[in-house]
Amino acid sequence: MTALLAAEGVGIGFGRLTAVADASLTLGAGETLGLVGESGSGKSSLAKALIGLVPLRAGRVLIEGRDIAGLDRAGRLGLRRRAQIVLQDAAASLSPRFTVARLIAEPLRIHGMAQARMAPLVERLGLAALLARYPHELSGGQAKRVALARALVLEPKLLVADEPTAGLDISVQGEMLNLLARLRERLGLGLLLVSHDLAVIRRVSDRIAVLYLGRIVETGPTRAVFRQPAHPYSAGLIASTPVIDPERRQRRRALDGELPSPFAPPPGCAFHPRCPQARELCRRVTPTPAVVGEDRAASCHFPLTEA
Amino acid sequence: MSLLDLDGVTLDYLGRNGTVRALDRVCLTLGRGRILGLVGESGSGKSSLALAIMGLLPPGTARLGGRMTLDGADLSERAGACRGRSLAMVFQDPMSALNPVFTLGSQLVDAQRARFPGAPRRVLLERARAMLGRTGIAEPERRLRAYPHELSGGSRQRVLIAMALLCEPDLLIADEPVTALDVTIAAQIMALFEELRDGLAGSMIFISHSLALVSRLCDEVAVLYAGTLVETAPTSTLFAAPRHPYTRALIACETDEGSGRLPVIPGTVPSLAGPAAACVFAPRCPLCADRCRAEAPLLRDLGGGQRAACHFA
Repeated sequence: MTALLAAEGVGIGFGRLTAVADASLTLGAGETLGLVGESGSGKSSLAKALIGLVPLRAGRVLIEGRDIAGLDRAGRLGLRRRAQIVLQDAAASLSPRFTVARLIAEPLRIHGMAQARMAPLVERLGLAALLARYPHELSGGQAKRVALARALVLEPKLLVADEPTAGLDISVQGEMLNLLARLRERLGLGLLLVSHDLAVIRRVSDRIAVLYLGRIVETGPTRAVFRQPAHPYSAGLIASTPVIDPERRQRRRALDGELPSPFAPPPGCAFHPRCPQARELCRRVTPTPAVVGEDRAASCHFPLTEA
Repeated sequence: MSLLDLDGVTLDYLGRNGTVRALDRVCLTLGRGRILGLVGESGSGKSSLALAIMGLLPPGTARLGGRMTLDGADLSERAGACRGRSLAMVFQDPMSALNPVFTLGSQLVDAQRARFPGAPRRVLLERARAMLGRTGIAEPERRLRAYPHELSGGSRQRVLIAMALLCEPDLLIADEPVTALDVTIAAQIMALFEELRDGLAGSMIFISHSLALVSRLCDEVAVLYAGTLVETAPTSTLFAAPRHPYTRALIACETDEGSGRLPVIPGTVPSLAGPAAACVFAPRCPLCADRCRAEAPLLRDLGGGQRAACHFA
């Protein structure tokens, strides 16, 4: 079966900055892939490149088996129908001069589709009362729902959601995530969820990909990775995520050091200066993804779990 | 005797379109050497409360009622005189809290002037160097000559924590000190707070939207909702036996790890225009009854240091 989305050796750069190097991943229809990383890890660049919003320096991206590079105008229009994105700053992605109704109708107009298509979506996302409003009259959560409606009104196969819960209070985060999960089920969406928040990724993703300094360091089923991370960075990230622990039972094992500058990444494994178990080999040789379990891969010379 | 005493603190912001009640009759005490976690969602009034204690509310547009005392002395008029002496604060955004045109050394010295008037610069600089080392800054000697832009966000927050501690404040307020930081850096700063907690001479208020963060650090927790203090208890009691429905819902939102539907608190935080005649949480509360819509519950003592503002607690 052809994967809905397949990235093969994707490289992205801006000037002398290498934002993403050698990234490969796949996403099936109806599946949720969580892309997790800290700021500067390249997750937003990769997310945008996967639907053709950022040019590639290397590799290729296939959506439903078709290469998205070098498409003509009609091809790009067709791609937009199949693959949509909700940007991180949803409020800023909405034109301040359009009402909510016009914002949601705009993609339909561009694609020459019937305006009637938006009614059920407006209903489902609870936007009926907001149709006459302008973006500045929306709360953060409402703006996110409008951006989501705009993306979904074309009934895409693939939805990329960049930090869909960032800036939302914890009591409404669940609402947004439940909504995404419901829509995924009902529409058979492939969902690429980008977040720095492991708690969010853990709740809704089938599989996760962990990014560090522009490289995917680990991929695998969410549950397996959380139970026993293979890459020391994944382990450090998971251990750094705060949990309710009033008796202080868990020992804190925070990672030392900080994210190095992506302009001058360390030689060998980019994680070695912060890695608690780095050895000589790690300083010289960049590790490549190796199988570390069923449907799991990690780019580490000395993974914490063996295949 | 308690260090900080808040008695019926009410805060109104006066705007062109009417008055917004940011805090409604908040009563709270904090003992010496204790760490209080102040938890709430955006708009709950937690930062307003911090600014009120620090005397940093905007003049003219903020109207403060009730009584605040620090060490028995009324704070409402002397907060300004207390800042940098008995009161210090660490802010959320370390990128904008330092002056970009002065070296860290000179800012760390200036921050101590009010507390140690007349002390020679050499002494204050040496104190600064030692404190930077304690807060985990590598090569503190060299860093004293550095400018803020030369430091990462995590390091700047360490500098700001050092700056606050150099004043040896009776009360340190940390307002979301790790929210702007990356996950692994936030964990480092939380580890620093945990290290410092036993050496802390004064008391601390740690403000956060995350129950997980306060759960490990704080001795007691106060939960704010829409300007109202809905529950306060010793940390272990609050997590073992939360009594207010909002506290319970918040804990559920942060602990759920199973798949399937996530816990949600239906509805949104109410508008804060004008004082409320009903329980502030009533529109979103699963237990809401007629009484809740007619009468605002008072914060009731439930024993064991726990108090909750709910008719059904």
